[in-house]
Amino acid sequence: MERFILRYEGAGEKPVDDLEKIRAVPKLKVVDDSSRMLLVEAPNDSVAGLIATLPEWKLTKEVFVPIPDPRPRVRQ
Amino acid sequence: MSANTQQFILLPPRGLNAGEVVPATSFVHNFLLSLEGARVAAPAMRRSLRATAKTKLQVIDSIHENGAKLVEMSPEAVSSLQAEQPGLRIVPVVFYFPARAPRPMPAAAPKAAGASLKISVTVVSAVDQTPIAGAKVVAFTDFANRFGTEATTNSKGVAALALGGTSKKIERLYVYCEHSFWNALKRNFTLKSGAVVPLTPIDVGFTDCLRHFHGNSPDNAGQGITVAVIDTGVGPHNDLNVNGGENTVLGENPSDFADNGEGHGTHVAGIIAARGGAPRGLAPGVTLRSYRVFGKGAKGASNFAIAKAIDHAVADGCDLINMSLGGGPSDEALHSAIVSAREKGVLVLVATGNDDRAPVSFPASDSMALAVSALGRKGTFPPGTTEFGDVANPLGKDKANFIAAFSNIGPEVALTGPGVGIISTFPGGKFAIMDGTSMACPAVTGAAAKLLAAQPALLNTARDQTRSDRMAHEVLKAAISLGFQPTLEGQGLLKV
Repeated sequence: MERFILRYEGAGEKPVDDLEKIRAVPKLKVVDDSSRMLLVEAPNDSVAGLIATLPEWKLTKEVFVPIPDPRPRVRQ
Repeated sequence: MSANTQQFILLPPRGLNAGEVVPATSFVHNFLLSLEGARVAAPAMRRSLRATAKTKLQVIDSIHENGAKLVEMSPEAVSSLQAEQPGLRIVPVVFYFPARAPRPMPAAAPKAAGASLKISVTVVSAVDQTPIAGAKVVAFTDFANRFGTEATTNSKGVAALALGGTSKKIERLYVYCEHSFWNALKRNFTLKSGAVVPLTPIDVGFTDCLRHFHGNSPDNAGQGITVAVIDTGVGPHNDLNVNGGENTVLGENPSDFADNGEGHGTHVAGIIAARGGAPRGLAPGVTLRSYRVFGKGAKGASNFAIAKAIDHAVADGCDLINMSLGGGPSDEALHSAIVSAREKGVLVLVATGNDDRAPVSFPASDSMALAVSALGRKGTFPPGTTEFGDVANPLGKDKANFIAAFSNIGPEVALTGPGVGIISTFPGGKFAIMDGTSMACPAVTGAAAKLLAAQPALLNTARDQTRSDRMAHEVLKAAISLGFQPTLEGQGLLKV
């Protein structure tokens, strides 16, 4: 299952009702959270459907940024 | 559209209209209204106007009177407009095409290595011939196509390069050491088995590129400013005083914000705040906080960990956020975190990336970030070092200055900073040489801290978008051009 970031864009704290709605999604698991975000594991289609009902939230796939290194590398 | 102009969209900090989601600063609101006035006054002529003191642009279309404007201007003008209207988002117009399946393209043919025959190279200290273990030796037989091989030295300082012979013509041979020595570069020679490469030990009193441009700062430089370093973690190092932070890597101890072993974040932090005898950071007086986003043994940081670190750095009262990282596609989570930081009065500085003059990478390309390219100077690295490979045209007004060959560039560049052959701290009380926009970014962050520390009235204003806009404005207007195109240097070097 892929990981997604749900980021709350509204004013104040993350609404409790929204959090309940997110946690109620079948097969969705919250793996980390912060003041404005949740990191979740869930099937692709279920989060896409979820976000349509949460207009103050933004959905992004989790991606990874490498450590910067300007050294020329041998092409493998 | 004339030959040297491009179309850009000018936007308020958030949304499409100033004041749509959060109140826009009066600067941006008034600026967008003034453009609307000019557009309405002469719609048929699409009249060119001098939008600011320095910037000439043409308004093509508008979504709302105080909202998004489609304009034409030169890429070089973006930097000066950003300097004069720091809360304004300036986004290149992009065009979307049908998503056709890509056609197969031939790949560059890899060169057969003939791996059975190897050339041994011994790496030693130039001072006492002591063998150096763990040095990475990279031999290019065809540098343009990046053909070659690499190996790491063993305990006797010997690396075995699979080059398919006992002697081979080499275009470039790089030797990299983790710390304590300058890295070496040899060009266009025949490498024979048994070759010895001596490395020059680091003299911490050497005038590198950073000290050439900025000298040494007193202990109190930057006092009153809190700086977040979002990176691989910081320290331990006796010259660094880390005043808290957080590890936002999933599954790791949140209070372990020391370096993960890569040394990158420690080097970055030293450029900002090292407070030993030498080398010193640009602002040793700052309150330094470390936010570790790279896990132990991990080569990548998740956008969640980075966005979380930004949010927490803002909540922890940081004034400046240094992000010497980037690459990959733009994403909403990081963009929102940067926008949110700016709305809460915090300035975010990001390295442009090290992809050999490629476009500025994300998140440096985010219009609410200040993107920093890497500056180098001939004569600030010893003979035979890898930094000679970073020299590239065009040179600056002073012909010793150059924008590093590896530095990403483009209209988003806001500033440039020393980033070639930089001596700074490395975990365990050591010192290392590193190159990159990763080093240029903290040089600008340190200089910005030094500059802003002298403006307590600005620092004490409410933590909102106006504060961060004014901070950006002060930083950008204090920069001096070194004679490069704005797409290379932005507003230039912040010399405080």
